Amino acid sequence: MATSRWTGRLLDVCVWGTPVIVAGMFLWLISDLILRGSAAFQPGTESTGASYSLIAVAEQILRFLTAAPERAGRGGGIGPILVSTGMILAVCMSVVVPIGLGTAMFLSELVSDQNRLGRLVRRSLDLLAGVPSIVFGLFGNAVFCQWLGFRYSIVAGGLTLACMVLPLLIRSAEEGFRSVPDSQRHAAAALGFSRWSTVFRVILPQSTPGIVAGLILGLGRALAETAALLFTSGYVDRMPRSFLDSGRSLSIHIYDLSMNVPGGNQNAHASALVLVVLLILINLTAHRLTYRFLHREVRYA
Amino acid sequence: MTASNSTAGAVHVENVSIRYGAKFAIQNVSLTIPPQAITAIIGPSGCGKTSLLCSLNRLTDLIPGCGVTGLIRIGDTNVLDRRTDVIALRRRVGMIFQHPNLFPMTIRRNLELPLREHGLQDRRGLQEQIECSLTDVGLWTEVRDRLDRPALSLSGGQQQRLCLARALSLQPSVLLLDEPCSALDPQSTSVIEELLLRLRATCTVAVVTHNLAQARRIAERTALLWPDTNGSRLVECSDTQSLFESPQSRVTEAFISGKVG
Amino acid sequence: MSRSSKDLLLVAVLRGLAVVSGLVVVCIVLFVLVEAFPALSDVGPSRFLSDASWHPDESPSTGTFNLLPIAAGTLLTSLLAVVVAGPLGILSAVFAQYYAPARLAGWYRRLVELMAGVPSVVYGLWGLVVLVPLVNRIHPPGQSLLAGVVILTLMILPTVALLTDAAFTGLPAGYARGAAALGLSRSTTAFFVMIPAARSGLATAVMLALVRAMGETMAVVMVCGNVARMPGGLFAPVRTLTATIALEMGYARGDHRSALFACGLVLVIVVTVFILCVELGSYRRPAHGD
Repeated sequence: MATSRWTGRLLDVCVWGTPVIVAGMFLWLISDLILRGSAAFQPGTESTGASYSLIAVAEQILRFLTAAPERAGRGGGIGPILVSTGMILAVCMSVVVPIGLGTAMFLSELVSDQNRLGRLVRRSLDLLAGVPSIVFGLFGNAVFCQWLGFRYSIVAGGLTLACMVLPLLIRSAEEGFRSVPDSQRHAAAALGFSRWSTVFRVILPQSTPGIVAGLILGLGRALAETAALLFTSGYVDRMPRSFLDSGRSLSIHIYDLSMNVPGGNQNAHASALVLVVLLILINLTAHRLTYRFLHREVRYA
Repeated sequence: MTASNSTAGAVHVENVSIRYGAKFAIQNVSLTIPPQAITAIIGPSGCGKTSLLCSLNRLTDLIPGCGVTGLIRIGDTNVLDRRTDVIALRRRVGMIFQHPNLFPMTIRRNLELPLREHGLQDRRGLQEQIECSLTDVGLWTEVRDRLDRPALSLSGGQQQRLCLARALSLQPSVLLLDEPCSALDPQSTSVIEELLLRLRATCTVAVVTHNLAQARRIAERTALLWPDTNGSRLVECSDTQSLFESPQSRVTEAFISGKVG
Repeated sequence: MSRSSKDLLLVAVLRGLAVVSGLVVVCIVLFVLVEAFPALSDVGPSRFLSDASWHPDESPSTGTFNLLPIAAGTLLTSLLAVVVAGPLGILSAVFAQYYAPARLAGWYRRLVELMAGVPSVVYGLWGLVVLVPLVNRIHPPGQSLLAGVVILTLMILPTVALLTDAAFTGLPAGYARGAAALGLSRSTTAFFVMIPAARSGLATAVMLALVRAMGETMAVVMVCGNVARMPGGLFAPVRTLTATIALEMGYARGDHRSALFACGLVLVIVVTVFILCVELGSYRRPAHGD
């Protein structure tokens, strides 16, 4: 049991060395991303005579965010791609939110932990959470694109993502519901509340911030996904006209630019920068909500 | 559902056993809780007093693995019958818990929610009932000006009284209290005790308590539960005075004199 | 609507939604199975193991369907990544939990969470643009097993670190107090008290990281080179099951497409077995405090 002084020293060095390596690698990655990505926003590369100022940079960023891609994405911006991404996410969330919240409500409010159906659903969700994203892509392609006849479309992509984020969403919503103490349920029951009122008037209002934080995290997961969309939402990079149109998501745009378009690296980095910034904003929002949620509980407890 | 249930019903408990999984909490308990009186249920901690209380308004339904057998009758309602409307039952049987369990909403909303749930919708009626039940528990003058503040900003004693007001606003005919004063200071305790003494005029009151002095102070009748090898049993149930002054059983004698428990 | 019928409706609707959620995974397995069936029956499992190479085609007679090198690619990349990321992740959790001052630990945790949130396509992009040229300088072609392992390590390290951190947090506070009372050094406390106590949590973390590594697609496609040959060393290109699906699904027809679903089926089965192992493990040691 007793470690010699030297073993202890060695372990100490390992423990202090690891975060240095990990943080170093990650900061390297992030700084590369920022440097290479922001290069696309340097004014003067395309517009001549514009002086280097914040306004010019902002203009350049705005142009990148709104313009259509040109020359297979080497030039231009990511306007239609952001629109497609938004539409895919909208489909995904509008399907997954009712199903996910309903399931979470069922698991935490209506059945006990021993309930057979509850345990079965939980087990199957655990498995679903482990299914690789590419398999969701296969499934989405077989079911939504072919069997249901949506072809490569925003609907098919959104539905595939919905299957993928379902377990994540259910788990966080369930945590939200469970954070409401049992004494509240007992109070409601002792006052003769129906299940309906207990759930919608007592439990749901108290768990809303936690649930919204969970929804936002699910949104982030969906936004980051690439593999499940490769053969469900398609590659077309023009502005989608309807939900049945094919649409390219931001992450697929990055993949396509870096792998299939020689000379697309600069815009790939710029798009990746946009994607990471979006994800960080999403996570910060979720964090803030969770923090306020916990803070409120402490104050009232 | 009638608006007023001022005629209190007696609670009859016959041969009731409660178990969690395979383990019995109480075994074959029979007693009667008479109307317009306070009955105290005493016993060492963990002897199933709370379980017995929770079975009276079927709150035991909420506990997974909990089974209740026997016969419980409140007025003419067969409590344990599966066809009994639990919601109507719980409306008639109010319950106060050891720790105040207000909803994290405003004081007004805490009182409004159960009233609305049971069909009172018009604003005047709600306002009147809220004032009435707050006056009952002596809170009206204290909180009149801050009805729209969070209920959880009140002190512990005030919270417990608000819980009581919330239960009373439904005009229950039976009131169950699970160690209502154990988390309170002596002053709040005496306020609540006075309130209970007034309430017995209209209610059947059952109080679980581990405070023997409290049982002596307020209860007409006292029941003693005692743990046995497989679940607690009822040792004695009689007038408070005779139970404390001439106990029939040696267990009772030992318990009230502080030798065991 | 009366109160009780409202309640009945609520219960029915919620139960229906829960059943739908529970059926998703069943549907996935079913559909992948059905789509993989033609390949399994026409080509047959034995040819997946014994054919000369992986040159699949619509008809089973003209294509060759050897999956072994690809399966080996998946196993090799993910196992090597876990071998590196496992210890690093655990060390990094030990750092955050027992070494770093609270402030620093907070920042470090935030950094690791950020790492976990970066999309795989961004890791892939960095690997392709920065890492692959570096490896190429040591030994061409650059797109290689090594590049894949490094990128995968970066991606699954946060999984190990965060789950391990949570396992440490879940340990009873008495352990730390007891160790301190005995005057044990920080390293002894962490490595000889805490890690053994949290071992089942650690095992879960590593298993889940392995599952994540095997299922990872985009980053692997971008840096591994994707040559469907038996991996021939750290600097040789490899191809994984996920990469095969991602690369060929776009144009595959007939039995070729079906064979890709068979790849997916293999992945699902392996992952499911791992997850069931994790669950069994956590059932068997319930009262362990971790």
